[in-house]
Formats: sequence, C-alpha cells, structure tokens
Amino acid sequence: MKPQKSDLLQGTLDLLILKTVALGPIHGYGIAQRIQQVSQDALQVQQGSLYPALYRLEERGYLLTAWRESEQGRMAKFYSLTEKGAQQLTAERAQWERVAGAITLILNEAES
Amino acid sequence: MRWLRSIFRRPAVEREMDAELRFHIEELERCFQQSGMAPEDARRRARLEFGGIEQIKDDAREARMTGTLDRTVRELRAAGRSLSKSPGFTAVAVATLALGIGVNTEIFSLLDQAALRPLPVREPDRLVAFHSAGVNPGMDRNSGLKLSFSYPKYKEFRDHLDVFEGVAARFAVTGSVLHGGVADRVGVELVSGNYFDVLGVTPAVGRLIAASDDQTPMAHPVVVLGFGYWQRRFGGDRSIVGQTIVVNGMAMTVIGVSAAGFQGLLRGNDDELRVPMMMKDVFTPNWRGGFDRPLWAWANIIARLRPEVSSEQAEAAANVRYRQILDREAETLSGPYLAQREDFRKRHLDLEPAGRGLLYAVKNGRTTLLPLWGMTGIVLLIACVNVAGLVMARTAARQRELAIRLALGAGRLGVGRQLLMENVLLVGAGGALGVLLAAAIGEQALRVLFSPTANQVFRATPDVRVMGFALAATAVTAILFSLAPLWQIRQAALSDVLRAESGASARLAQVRFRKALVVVQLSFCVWLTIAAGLFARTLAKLRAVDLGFRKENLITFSLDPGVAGYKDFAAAKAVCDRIEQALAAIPGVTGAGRSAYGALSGGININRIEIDGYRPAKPEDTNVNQLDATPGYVKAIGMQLLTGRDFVASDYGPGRVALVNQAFARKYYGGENPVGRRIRSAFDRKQEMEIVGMVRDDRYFGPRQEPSPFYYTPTPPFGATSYYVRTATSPETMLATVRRVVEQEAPGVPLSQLRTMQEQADLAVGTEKQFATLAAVFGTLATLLAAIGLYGVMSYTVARRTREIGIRMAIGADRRDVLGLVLREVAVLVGIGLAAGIPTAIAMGSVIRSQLYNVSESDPMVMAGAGLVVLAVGLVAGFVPARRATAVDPMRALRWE
Repeated sequence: MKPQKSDLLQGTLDLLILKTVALGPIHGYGIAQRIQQVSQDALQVQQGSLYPALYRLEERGYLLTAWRESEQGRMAKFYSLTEKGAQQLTAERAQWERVAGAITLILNEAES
Repeated sequence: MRWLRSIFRRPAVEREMDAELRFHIEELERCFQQSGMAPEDARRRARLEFGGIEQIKDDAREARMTGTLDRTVRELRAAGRSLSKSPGFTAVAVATLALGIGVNTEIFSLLDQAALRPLPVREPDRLVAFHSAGVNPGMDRNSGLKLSFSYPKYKEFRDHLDVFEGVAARFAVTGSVLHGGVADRVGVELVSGNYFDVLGVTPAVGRLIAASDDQTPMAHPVVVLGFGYWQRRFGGDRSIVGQTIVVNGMAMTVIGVSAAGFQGLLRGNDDELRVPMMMKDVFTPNWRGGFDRPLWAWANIIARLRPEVSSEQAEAAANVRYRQILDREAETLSGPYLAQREDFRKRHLDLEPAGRGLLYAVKNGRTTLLPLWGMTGIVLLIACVNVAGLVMARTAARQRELAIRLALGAGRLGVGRQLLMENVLLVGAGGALGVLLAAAIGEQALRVLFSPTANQVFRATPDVRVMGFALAATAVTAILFSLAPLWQIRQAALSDVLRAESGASARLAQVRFRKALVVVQLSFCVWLTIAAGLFARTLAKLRAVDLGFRKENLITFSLDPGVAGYKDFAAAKAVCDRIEQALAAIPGVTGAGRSAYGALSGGININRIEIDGYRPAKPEDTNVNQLDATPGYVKAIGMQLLTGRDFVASDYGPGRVALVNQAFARKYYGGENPVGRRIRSAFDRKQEMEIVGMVRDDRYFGPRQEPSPFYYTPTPPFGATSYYVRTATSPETMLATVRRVVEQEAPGVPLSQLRTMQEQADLAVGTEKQFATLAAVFGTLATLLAAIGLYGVMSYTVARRTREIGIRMAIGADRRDVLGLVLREVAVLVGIGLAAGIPTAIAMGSVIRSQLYNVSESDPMVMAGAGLVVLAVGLVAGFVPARRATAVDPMRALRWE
C-alpha cells in the first residue's frame, strides 16, 4: 500500500523548496519531482501551492531566477539560492528541529 | 521592489508565468509518455495532475504582487482578533484616544481659526499695523485700541515712507443693502485704493478696488462683495458683478467679489462689503469728510514691509517722519488743546505684527490665548499618559504569550510587528471615532463657544494638521510604551517568565510607575477643574452685577433711518418719533424711549464741557460721556431718578436741560446735589444747559467697567438710534410684535439687533462665558481621562493582589474591610494628586488673573470644590475594581498561581 500522502504546511514547503534549490539551480518541475522522489513518494507537492511558494520566496529575496536551456534543450526558468536564502534555510531548519524536538518530548511524556 | 515590476511590466511577467507553467505541464506530459502512455492520455493526465491553470496563475499572481500587502492584511486581522479578546482594554483605549484626539483637536481648531492662524493674505509676516498711544486732541473714533490715525497723516505715510512696499488704510462702518426688495444690515469696510494690493488678495470674480477708484470724494460708487456674503445673499450668482445695488440709499455698482477665505483684518468679522474710502460720507453722515483734518483720527493703517527691511528699521524710519508730522501739527493746537502740545509731541509710533489680524496686534489679544493653548496641551498629555499606562499593562499581562512566541523563534521583530499592528488598529479606530465625535460636536461647539452665527465665519471641521499632530503624539506614545517592556524579555530569562511567580519585582516597579502616571494625571485634572471653577465664579459674579438699569422685561433694537433714505434731519426725527409713539401704544408695553447709542454696545459720544465752579486740572478732566435721549428713555430703560425731575415732553428738542449721574456729581460737585447747576459745551459756549435731575449710576459699558460721569440731553438722536421698549410681561413673546409695528410705521427701514436686554447683557459677558465653557469642557475631558486611568491601574492592582485578598478574607476580613482596603489606596492616590495639584495651580494662577473678576486665583471655595470633585470622581472610578475585589472567592484565590 502506498504510504499516506501528507499535506504539507506552507512553512514546511518553503523549507523543502529552499533545501532542494540549495543543491543546485533547478526549475519548478524539477523541484516537484525531486521532493517526490527523495521522500519516496510520501510527499507530493500540489502545483497549486508550488508556484505561489516559489514566487513568494523569490519576492523575499531568497531565490534568484534565470531562463536557461533545460536538459532537453527547451527554455525553462531556473531557480537558484541566494546568500540570504541560504541563511533563511539554516534558520528554518533550526526552527523545524526545535519544534519537532518539542513535539517528540510531549509524545514521549504522555506515554509514561 | 519586485512587486513594482509585477505591476509595471505586467504583460512581460504574465508571458513569463505562462511559459513557466506550460513548461511544467509539457514536462509532465513527456514523463507520462515516456512511461508508456498514449499521447492523448498523457496530455489529459498531465492537465489533471497539474490542476486548474488559471487558479494557479491567480494564486501565483497574488503571491507575487501583494506579498507584503497580503502579509500586512493578515497581520492586521490577527491584531484585530487579539484586541477583540480583551474588549475592556480596547474600548477604554479607543475612548481615550477619541476624546483626546477628536474633541481636543476640534476645540483647538476653532480657537486656531479665531485667533492663531495667519490671515489668508500674501506673506502675512510682512504685514504691520500702525499703533500709537498718547494724548489725542480732537476726535478719535476708535480710541480704545490706539490704532486710529487721521487721513492727512495716512497720506503722508503712504507717499513718503520708502521702507514699505505699500501703506493702506481701512475703517469699519455699517450699512444697509437693498436689493431685490430685501434690505439687510451689513458690515462695511472702507478701504484705500491700494488695500487689496498691499494685502495681496485676489478677486474671485470681476475685479477689486484699485487706486483709480479712490481719488475724489463721492465720485466712485463701486463696491466689492465679500465671498461669504456673495454666496449667502446672492447665491454665488456671477451675474451680480456689473449690476447695481442700493447701499445706504446710494446706487453702487458691484465690480467684483474678493477671494474665498479672505475675511478682512478682524477675526470673527466677515465684512460683507468693501467700498473705496472716498465714499466715506455715505456711511458717516454725522461726521462728513475729514480727509483734510489732521486731528480727526479714525483710519487704521496697515503696511507691508519691504523684503529687505526689518520691522525695527521700518519703525525707526517711520518715527522720524511721525515726529515731523507731530511737530507740525502741534503748532496748530490752540484753545483748549494748547496745554497738550508737549504730550502730543511725545507720541511714538509702534509697528505691531498684523499677520494674524488687527486684534492680535494688540497685546491683550495674545495673552488670552495662552491659557487656551495650555488647556488643550494638558488634555492631550493626559490622554497620552492614559494610553501609555493601558498598553504597558497589556503587554505585561501577555508576557507569557509573548515569551512563548519568542521561544518558538518568532524573533523580536516579528512580535514587535504584531504589537505595532495592534497599536495601529487602536490609534486608527480612536482617530476615526475622534473625527466622528469632532464632527458631531463641531456645530454645537461653534454656537456655544462663539455665537449663533459663527458658522458663517468659522468652519466647524477640525484642522487636519492639528489632528495629525494629536494622532502622531498618541501613536508614538502607544508604540513606545507597548514595545518597551518587550525589550526587557531576554532569551535567558525565558524560563523564568514561563514560571509563575517570576517578574514580580519588574511588575511591582511597573505598577509604581503607572501609579505615578495616574497621580500626574490627577494633578492636571485638578488644575483644569480649578480653572473651570474660577471662570464659572467669574461669570456668575459678572452676571450678578447690578447694571443700574432694569434689564428684565426690556427689549432693545437698533435703527438707522438714514440708510433707508431719510437723510433730512426733520424727516428722520419725524419717523423715529412716530415709531417710538407706536411702540409705546402697543398693549403690554409700559414705556418706550430711545437714545443715540445703545447700552452695553460700547458706543458713546464724548464731549468736553465747562462746569461752573469746577476748575479742571487738565483739559481732558472735563471730557464727559454724553448721551442724547428722548424723554421716555429713563423710564423705559429703567434707570432710577434720585433727585430732581426727569425729562418731560417740553424739554424735547431745544436742549436747555440735562440730567447727570451720580459719578458726575461726585467728580465735579464733590457729591453735592447737582440740581440747578449749569454746564455748557466747551466748543459752543452758547449751548448752555441746566441740570434738572440726577440718576443712579449705570454700568453702561458693561459689568466690568466702573461707572463714569455721564450727562444726558433731551435732543433727538440723529442717525443710528437704539430703542428701548419696556414690557409688562415676558419680553421674548413681544419681539415679533415690536418688529411688526416698526415695519408698519416705517417700511423699508431695517431694524437690527432686536433682542431682549437680558440677551444683550449675556453678550456683554461673551468672552467670560466662552472661557467658562471651555474650561468646563476641558476639565470634564481631563477628569474623564484621569478616571479611566485610575480605573485601569486599580483593576490591575486588584487582579495582581487577588492572592493577598484571598488570604485576608480567609483569615477573617469581611467584604467591607476589603472594600475599605482598595478604596483607601484610591484615596491615597487622589490625595497625592491633590497635594501636588493644588499648590502648583495656585502658583500658576497669575496666568489667568486678568480674566477673572472679583475672584482671587486662590479662592478657597473653588479649591475646596475642585478637590471634592476630583476625590469623588476618583472614588467612583476606583469603586468598580474595589467591588471586584470583594467578589474574590478565597478558595479560588489561594489556588491561583
């Protein structure tokens, strides 16, 4: 049975996008594919949320865009991470870990 | 800003977005095809997976363009929700802001228009008015303010003073306008040809008076309408320009309308007409000409300084010329004026800044404004202090919530933004409510503070600058005080904050600070309440002054037959007598009379007389107030005859007898009976009168003026006349009848200022009434705000001490004890406020001393009264939290952390 697809909160989508782009310039379709592949199909990004998120991140100066030739030779819009974006990625990652840690604590406590 | 790019290069951006999304779909399609799907299926599947393209585009567009806006809106909504969770705080804060911003600025705006704002003329700072105090032999039409000069002097200043760009003259008169069968009385300003030029006023329609319109006496029957009057009377009809209207019986052509907003040089006046000075005789039939009389002082002079010349330089230069003129004129003084030569030469010319109106040029006008500035400022200060206390308390109460947010990584900036949004909402709501309040009370305030017709001259809408200032002040206060505690929360102390009993010392300090704020507010409150009490007492004392005549059951009005064409003395006398007889014949009227000037209206004639048996030390010792009156006058106005007899019908006309008042007898006869003595006019020795009676002193000039010597002659008054009609019953009901009778007897003669004497007396104390009302309003505002502040602090204190109260109740204190505990704390606060406020109020009392009448600025009754009021209000404000304290359940309180 396929693992359940979970809905992604907006905040965490940003985190995933930043991480994906950190690995190298990539276009929108590529980002969606990569997240799906690496999470082994557990996370599937809705295109409806992907592009608004991309534009918002670009807006805030975390991503840079450029039209380049894709692997197939067609023109596509590539996103890359800025320095500000790299810092944001670190911050968001730290926060994610903090929250996740807190939740784990509570779960553990309740059981005992 | 990237979003700007989105807006300005939309087509390119849209195309880009289109291309990007299409790329994605086509890649999906290709992927499906590669995994073996048929091309059609692949395309369909891709479309399905991708979702609605337009929807995505919309969302994407939104995210792009309104990124910041969207976030702000979201934050505002969150702030709104947060505020609605504490409705008490929100309501109180908004109310405070509305009162402090709205009501306060409304009143300030009215005062600003009345006195502070510069005149709407070109470069008002360059305007000066000529002012000269000193002896004035000859006639002075405007002696009180020392701003009048003779026409020959004006001409010399105009033609020979280079330090000025231009020197203009003006003189205020009244007139009657007849047009389309309707007559009304208007204020008229006689102006020199260069008046509009010097002031820098432009026409709204047509043209204005120019130098060519002011050359020869009576040769320029032209008139300029005031903008307001043009709107009101002629409905803003442009075709009136070029037509003729009848002014004081003379046909004059309307040549134009002056610019909107220009209301002349006297605040609160909106002269309806402006007429060339050469046409003066149309309005002053009693004293014609005068253009060549160096000792007839009447014209006000205003001048514009050259840009490179300072006021001091101009004054020095002007005085050089003035000295020459005075020397020359002093040589011509003869007869009774000879002795004044030296003093006359000593007169000095001052240049007073006239940019804010003529009355502002007189020092008195300025000092009455200081207390008003002060009161407005104090109320705003109190409001700010209140808001500060409120937001500080709120931030403190939410310390835990905020600390948690910080812990979750919100960052101080993020939390700060949230608080900022809340403050923006509060100040916005308070400001909006304030504007509504201001609009609501505006009209009423105008009527109460100034006069029933003030809305023709002043605008009731609050001044935007002032409102902006008040908004800014309160916003800054709110932001500062709400964010300040935030900065104290450090990461390290986070765990402390999350635990219960922590921050106690910080909170204690904060409570002390807030209590100090409340005490300060209460002191301000005390000041304003004392001021209100003092002004109210002044008003009451003035109203209680015995005016010497009976103002009850008395109607008065003013009439000028000359404006309706009765220019002949005999004809005017005939119609006036007829009117008087008709009035006396009305059923319900017990007497009618008239005089040349009206009591409490400020006008009077002064004559120099010679008194048998009295040798004056100085010539002006025998300048006496003189009033022409008909035989019915004394009885009608209700003066009391002490000795001798009243005028009778046979006295009327020839003027061989006179009545005097007590002050006259005291000054010239040492208090002996004046009946039988003789007096004569100093300029016309043949005019000799025998004194036949003495009347009791009256306060002709108003309750504040001590009685001065008067003599009354039974001569038919000429020109404008004041009538008095005594009624048997309530005078208000007879007003319409009086008007009807006058109009019947003399159709076409407009009567003006028809009112009961009581109303006239009230007008005479207009300024005092204004002050009393203002102080009462400000005092109430301040008290309300201080009460709110006190309530806030006490609520907080009670909540904080819940545990302590619970313990007390558990060990035996009953509700009354707890009530007493809280109220005692309130009383202490109020007490300190009073102790600080009263002595400082006494110290500052000298500021308002000039406005008071027969009331000391440290009047003990007022002090006591103010103290009681503040104490009472404080106790009431503290009562609600006190009661809440008594409702504490000891069991719950002890368990509360």
